[in-house]
Amino acid sequence: MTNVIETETLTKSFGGMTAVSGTSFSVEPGTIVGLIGPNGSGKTTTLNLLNGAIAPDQGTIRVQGENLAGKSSTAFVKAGVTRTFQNPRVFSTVTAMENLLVPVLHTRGGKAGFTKKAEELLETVGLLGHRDTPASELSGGQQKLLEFVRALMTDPHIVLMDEPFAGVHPSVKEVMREAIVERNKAGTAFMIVSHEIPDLTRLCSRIICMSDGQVIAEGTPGEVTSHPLVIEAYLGQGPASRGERG
Amino acid sequence: MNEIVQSLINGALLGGVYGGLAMGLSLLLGVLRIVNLAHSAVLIFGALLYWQFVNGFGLDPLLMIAPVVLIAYLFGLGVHRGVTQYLTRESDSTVMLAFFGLMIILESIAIMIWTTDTKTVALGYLSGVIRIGDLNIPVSRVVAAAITLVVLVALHFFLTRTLTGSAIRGMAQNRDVAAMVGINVEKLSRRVFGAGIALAAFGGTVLSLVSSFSPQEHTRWLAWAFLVVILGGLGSAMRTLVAGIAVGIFETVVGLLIPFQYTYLALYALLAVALLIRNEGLGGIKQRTI
Repeated sequence: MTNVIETETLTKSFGGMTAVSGTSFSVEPGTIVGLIGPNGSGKTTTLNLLNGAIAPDQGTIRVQGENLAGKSSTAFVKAGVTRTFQNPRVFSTVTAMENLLVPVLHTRGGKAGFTKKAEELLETVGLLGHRDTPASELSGGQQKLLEFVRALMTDPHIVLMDEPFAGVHPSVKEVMREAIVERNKAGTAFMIVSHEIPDLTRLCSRIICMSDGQVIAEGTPGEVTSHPLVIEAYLGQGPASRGERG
Repeated sequence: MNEIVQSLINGALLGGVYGGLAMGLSLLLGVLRIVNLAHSAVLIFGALLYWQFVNGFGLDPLLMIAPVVLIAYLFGLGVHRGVTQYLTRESDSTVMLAFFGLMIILESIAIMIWTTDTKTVALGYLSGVIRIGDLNIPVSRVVAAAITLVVLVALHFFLTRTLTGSAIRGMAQNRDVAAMVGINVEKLSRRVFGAGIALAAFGGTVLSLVSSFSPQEHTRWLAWAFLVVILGGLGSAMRTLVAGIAVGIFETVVGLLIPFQYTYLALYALLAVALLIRNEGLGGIKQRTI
């Protein structure tokens, strides 16, 4: 089966600093993959590359087999890649309902059908009662949930999520987690960047760890969290730094 | 007393037209962050084209508004494809310079074709006066205000009740995020730009129903449009209409109280006061969205 996303030697530099360096990995359909790493390891840059927010200096990004490296964000959405941000970027001047309708502007179908779909999505995260509320009046956690369901409006193959659990109330975190699981059961893949390792190990079947722009470990949550290079990257010490590398 | 009522009515009707005159500027500034210095040149070009159709070819004044607006829309699409789309990531000063250049070009072409003579549209069946008691209300002014009202209300509903309107307001707030959720921002920007230019030309047609005009004095209307935009905020058709009416009433009432030559001075003082009270000026406007 074709991988939802597959990168090869993905590289991105900003001035003299290489944020992502020759990174290769893949995400299989219907999986939830965690992307971890210390601050500055290149996680968010990787997400920005994977949804076309920025173009790579070199390397390929295959979405459902098609190389989209250098294409616009719109092309990535069209191919089935959507995303959320660490600080939710909802359209604050429009209502929650309108936030969900904006992404389907170029999709075939009537407004009534899209409205019903949006209502169902708002219901899944408990925001249906706020459908006509301007997004600016929602709490930070509610904005994160709104942004999440907005990313689902176009029925993506994969949703890229940047720190979905950071800074939100535990109840919101639980709603988010359940919504991700439900959607994943329906076949949507997820790639989640998070520092909340316990949350990720509960959700993900596979975790990728980055450090200094490179993938340093990849495997099941148990394998990755006990990997010496991962421990070293997070703690700056461990078997690897003591010369005990494999 | 009658004089005051007459002035209020005249001012309100004139102000309605001012709302139409400013809407295109407001839309481009609010959605695309473009300070369209060519706004008034497009407006006068639209008025001249309208004059050409009505006076030159003897066509119906009411029916000729739509063709002028359509021509301007297509012109706007062309300008976007040829110029504006390349300015998306440029600095504000570069964009303003580009549109200043467009203003000079349009003004020069207009003068070459139509000379600098002052033009007055032959109103035909719109030239009558409605008499209510001692009040005299020009039909053309009522028609111009009514058409503007219809257009601005329609625009209001388009922006607030349709999918495209929601997307435009989303794009106005954050163009990059709009692209990341799947909006073809280039295509939508092109249409919004076309609409902004079409609205500028529309402003020219309704203006020509209530006032004479000449190609080289268009910057006066640019100042008027900026005044209305500053008072009304960006992109909201209803607020623009209300601001236009406020300016119209202010202008006519002040015209009653002080000598005519000081009316403009008072209007520019109003502009200065508006900027002082809002305490944000164009920089603040740039931060706001529709």
